[in-house]
Order: sequence, then C-alpha cells, then structure tokens
Amino acid sequence: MRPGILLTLAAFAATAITACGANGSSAVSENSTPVASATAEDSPLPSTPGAVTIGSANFPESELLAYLYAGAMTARGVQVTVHAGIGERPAYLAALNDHSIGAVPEYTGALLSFLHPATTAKTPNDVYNELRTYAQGRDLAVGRYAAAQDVDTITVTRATAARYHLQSIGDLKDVAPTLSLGAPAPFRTVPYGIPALKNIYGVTFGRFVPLPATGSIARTTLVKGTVDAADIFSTDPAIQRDNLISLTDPQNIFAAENVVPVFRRDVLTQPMADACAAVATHLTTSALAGLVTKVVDGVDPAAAATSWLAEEGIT
Amino acid sequence: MNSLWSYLQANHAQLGRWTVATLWLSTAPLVTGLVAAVPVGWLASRNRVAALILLGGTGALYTVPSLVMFLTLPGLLGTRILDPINVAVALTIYSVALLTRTVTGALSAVPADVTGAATAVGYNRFQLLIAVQLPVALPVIAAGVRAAAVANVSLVSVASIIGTAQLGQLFVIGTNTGSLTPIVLGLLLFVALALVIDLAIVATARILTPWRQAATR
Amino acid sequence: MTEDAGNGLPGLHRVQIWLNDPGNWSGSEGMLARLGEHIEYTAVIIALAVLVAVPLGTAIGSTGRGTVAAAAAANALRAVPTLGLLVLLIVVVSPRVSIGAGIPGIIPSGGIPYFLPALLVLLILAVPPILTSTYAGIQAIDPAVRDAARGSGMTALHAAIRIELPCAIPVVMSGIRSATLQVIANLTVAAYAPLVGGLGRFIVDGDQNLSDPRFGYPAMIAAGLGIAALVVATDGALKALQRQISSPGIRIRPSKRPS
Repeated sequence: MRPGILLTLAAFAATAITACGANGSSAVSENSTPVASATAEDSPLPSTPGAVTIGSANFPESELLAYLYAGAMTARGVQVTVHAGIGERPAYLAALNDHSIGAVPEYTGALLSFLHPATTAKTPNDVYNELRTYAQGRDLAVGRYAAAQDVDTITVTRATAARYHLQSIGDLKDVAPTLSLGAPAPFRTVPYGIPALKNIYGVTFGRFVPLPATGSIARTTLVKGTVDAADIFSTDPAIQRDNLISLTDPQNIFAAENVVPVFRRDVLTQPMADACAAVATHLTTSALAGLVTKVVDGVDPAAAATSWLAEEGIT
Repeated sequence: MNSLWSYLQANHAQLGRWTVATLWLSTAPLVTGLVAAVPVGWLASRNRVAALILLGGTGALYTVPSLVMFLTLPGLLGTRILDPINVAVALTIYSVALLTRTVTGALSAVPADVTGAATAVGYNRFQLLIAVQLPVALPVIAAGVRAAAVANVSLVSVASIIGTAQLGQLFVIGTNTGSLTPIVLGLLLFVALALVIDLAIVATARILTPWRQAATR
Repeated sequence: MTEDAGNGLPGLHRVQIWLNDPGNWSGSEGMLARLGEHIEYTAVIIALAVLVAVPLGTAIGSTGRGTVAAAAAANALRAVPTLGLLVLLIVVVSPRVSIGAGIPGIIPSGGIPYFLPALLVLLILAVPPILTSTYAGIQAIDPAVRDAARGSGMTALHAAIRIELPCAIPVVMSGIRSATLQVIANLTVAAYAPLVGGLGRFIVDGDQNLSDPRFGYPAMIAAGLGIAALVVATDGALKALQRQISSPGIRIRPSKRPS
C-alpha cells in the first residue's frame, strides 16, 4: 500500500505556474538558465495582493528562506504570516495540504522525489519541469526557481577521508559496513538516500543514526566521531570551518536542489508570484551560503533576510 | 548575563508573543481540565466501581506520550495538524487525568459529620457538592491544580518539536545554532512563568476560601 | 479511521499493520529491543536515584533538618522543562566529551556525549519524588517508635536504617513508583538526543518521517501504545513489590490501628 501514500497526498489538484514568465534574464551563471514560462496555459492569477501563511522546515536555512519570501511578498502588499520550524517534509506538506499553511520554501529535487519517487531527472531544468508536471493534478503551484542550490552531501572529517582514502561516495563501498552514517530520519527511506547509496554505489553503512537536520548536533556528532559520516547540507558553513570533506557524487544520486517556493494553488496571487520571482533572480548559492553562515552565527533569520532583501533592492 | 539581556531586548516582540502563547497553552487546559474533572471525580468518590473505571481510564490517558497525543488528535478531532488547539486539548486531557484523582481524594476526605449535617438541614446532592463539599475540599484541589500547572508548563515546551510557537522554540534555536543564550533564557522564562502561575493559583484559592484565613487568626 | 488521513499521513489502521509485521518487532532496532532498552534505562536511572535520594532523605527525615530546603529544591526542579534542560546539557556536554567507545549492551559507541545529558536530566526528574517521599515517610513515623528505638540503645544511624526506614517503606515506595512513571514517560523526550534508544526513539524519529508506513506515524503510535502498556505493567509490578517488602505491621491503614 506504499504507493497509496502518494495517491493520498494527491488531494492536490494543481495547475503549475511560472507566473514570473520572463525568460532567463537572471544575473546567474550557474548551471542552466532558469526555465522559461511555458505558461500560456493557465488562467491568470488574481492581481490583489492577498494573504498567506508561509511555513518552514525545522532547520535554519529553511526558516531563512521563509523570511526571504515573506519579506519580498510583504513589500508588494501581501499579508504574510511566518510559521517556522514545522518539522520534516512529511509534516509540513501535510500542513500545506490541510490549509494550516499556504506556502513553503522547497528544494526542487527533494520535493520531486517525494511526489514521484521513480524520477530520474537530475539537472535543474529537467527536475523543475518534472516537478511542475507532478504538481499538476494536485493543488500545488510551484514558483520560479532560484539558481541557489542546497544539496545533501555525504561528508566526513578530513581524518576519516585520509584514513580510508575517500574522495567519492563510491570509495566507501568496502569500509561502509564498519561505519555509521548520521542523517535526518527521512534519509533512511527517501529514494535518493540510503536506497540510492546501496543501489547505485553499493554502499551500505553499518549503522544509521537519525539526527536533527543540520545544525550544531549534526556537526558535533561528525566532528567528535559519534558518527563517521553525516549528511551535511552543502551550504552549511561547518564544512569549511571544521575542515570537513564532502565526498563527490559522480553518479548524481543527489539531483539538482534549486530553491523554489511552493504554494497552494488557491492561495497564490500575482504579487506573491512576482515577489518570489524577484527573490529567485537574486539568490545565488553563494548568497544563500553567506546568509546561512550569518544565521548559524546567531543572527536572527528574519533580520538577516530583511537586510539582504534591502541590499538587493527587492524591498 | 549581558548576552541574556541583549538577546531579550533584541527579540522582545517575538518573546512576548511566545510568552503569551505559553501562558495560554498552559493555563487554559487547567480551567477546562478542572471543570471536567469535578463531575468525574465526584462520581468516582461516591462509588468504588466507578472509581476503578474512571481513575483507571484517566490514568491510562496520562500515559500517552505528549508527542503522540499532539499528532493523533488532529485525526480524531478533525483539527488541522499545526493548530495549537491540539496542544491545548492534549494538555486538558492530561490535566483531567491528574485532577480527577485529586478531586476524588479531596471529596472523599470531606469529614462525614460535615456532609451529614448539611444533608440533615436539607441540602440535596447537587447543593451539597457546590455549597459544602467543594469549598471544603478546595485547598486540596488547589494543591492538585498547582501540581498540574507545573506539569503543563513543562509539557508545552515539548510542542516545539512540532513547531508550535511558544517559548520552547528558544530550545530549538539553541540546538540549531549551538548557542547557550537562548536555551538559558528559555529555562529562566519557563521557571518564572511556572512561578507566576503558581502564585496566581495560591492567591485564587485564598480568595475563594476566606474562612480559612479567619480560622487561623 | 480506516482511510489514510486527508492530509497525507498514514491512517490509524496502518498501526495494526505495523504491529502485525514481525520485522518491526525483531532486530536491534525493533520494538522488542527498544522495549528492552527502555526498561534497562529506567532501571538504571531509578537505581541511581534511589542510591542518591534514600540516604539523603533518611538523613533529612531523621534529623529533621533541611526539610524546607529539600522541599523548595524539589518544587523548583519540577518547574524546569525537561526538553530545555536536555538541550542545555547537550550543547554544553557533547562538544567537550571525546569518548569514542560505548558500553556494550547499554550505550552504543560514540553515544556517551548524548547519554550523559539524558541521564542527568532523568536523574533530576527521578530524585525529587523519592527524596520528598522518603523524608516525609520518616517524619510521619510515630515519635513513640523512634523514641523506643533510641531508648533501647541504638545509635541514630542504626535506628534510621533498622527501624525508621522499614517503617517508611510504603511511603518511600509510592515515591519510587511516581519517579519510575516519570522516567518512563520522559524517556520519550530524552530520545531527542541522538543515539538514545528506548521506545522514545520510534517517537522522535517517527515525528521526523511521518509519512513512512514503517518508520513514521504508525511506528510512533505503536510506541505510544507500548509506553502505555509499560506504565501499567510497571505500576502493577511495583505495587506488588511494595506489598511484599512492607512489613505487615505497618501497611498503610491507619484507621485500623488500635487507638
């Protein structure tokens, strides 16, 4: 009955949008240009600003993104409430589904994998287009994606990498059964997590340790050796600061993870879409990483978001 | 100490909202819980079999872990998954569990000669309960309410794991950033809040039992 | 609820499916193993708490000194939120502890930096009820009994151990029962610390992976049921133990004592 869960998630009858239709006029040079509109299809969005509650997952970057979108939307007259720290994907998507929240910041690859586990899309454009396809027929509207990406990684300490001669994930194959992996609980069951490690790289860790997503606990368990490898998100400053090494992923089990806002179709208005598009055109991976560093160092996410939005001229 | 104060100042609006939410989430269930516990406790105090069933049943509810309760209630009540009402209902259930036991014990401890005298002058069961038994039992019930209050305040903080906006979020922030300041601040605020609620309950009990003050003079 | 919940979470009927799957019961992360861990941790913590609280409570009750301080401390500690204290200790302790090994059978390797905070938090929860019930139980002893003990030549220590404590056992046991139930319940919060096992592991991890039929919501509910069953069973067992070790002469029925 497992596929049944996906079917039940589909109370979502959607029409995808790329309301912010302009073709790739972003200042970004990463990967491919953000996808073009292809949206002649749908009815135009309401032009009144409207109101929305935007949620977030329970890690700092997600909160930050929520405040970024919230700030941009507020500047265009939208009534925004932020409800941060809801939990992992199943929890906040359930909240989106039952109208507890109207929007949430997401990552294209991971969300697509959740909605359509059999996906094989890897590049930003492919992932995004497929995501829009699967959001169709559900009540979800996916906004314009930003060039900024935050990917899962398998990260080890420099000492561990040296000891087992690790450079890419595949190098773990022989030694993984004696090692432990720390990652957020869903990593155990999502298609691009433990199953992909096993099926694509032949890597099976001896022990899986569920950890709160990123943050100081994840970092400490890796640095102190409680776990031998951990899923540290790629924008986490801990990778540089603690001299960690993210193993390379030549087989691309981790697809593109561009930041993207997801709305309930019945909540989305044109000003909201425009505001999110504005954020998308300015948010690069390095900008995101810089903001995350500030938040990890103790700056309030709302404050960090507000000053960045002002600097970029979005508000 | 300095950083605690500056953190407080920098985030006072957010902290204010969270404090109000914490206050509401921990005290409203006390009131509703008590209102529900009185009739149930009364029934249990009159009848051994009823006591066994009611106290056993409410006691069983108390054993359900809070996270499980918070996440199961939306399905049972039809509420939305993030609605703080789920936390309030869960805490009401816990309060009822604690207070039923207290009310039963308190009502049973009302001296037989007092109830006998009241019955003799013509009080029916309802009047007896409201006018005689409850007032006499009030100090013991108040003690039970104080214990339930402290338990509730602590349980509210657990709701941070599901993102409920209350002071417990300070603990999540602390875990995410590895910083002690929000955590220490959160602990201090929770203890202070528990103290304030405790004093309020004591004061209320005192107001409701003026004869005890007279008796001790 | 026989349908999957409208919000995409597995419905309650999946709990039955989960419980019927033997794969969920066996193995080092199965229900039985976690139940065993839960009982193990509770036993260790209560044993430690008794070792700390009973002698201290006996001393306080016997000498009559320190009751106010003990009562105040016990009350104040109850107001501290468990999650907050746990998080505080994790942030303080875990970056500073480098012990890589574990204790086979109890603590998985690398787990000590997280077990220490959990242990401390649960001790702080368990000690006050045992402490207060011990000194209250001793203070409630008929003064004539204590006088008789001292009068027959016993030293204070001797009297405390041989006479006062056994008399106070019913009250002390009720404190131990209360503490045990607190620990069983709060082990679920302690599982917020990585690597800490017990039934709480299902609950915290389940909360992070709600939609999964094996590790998500159904596992949470199943563990919740497990905890409820454990509490009932433990309370019953401790009540029976209390009856066993209480001397027949002092079982609590004051109205039956000859006046």
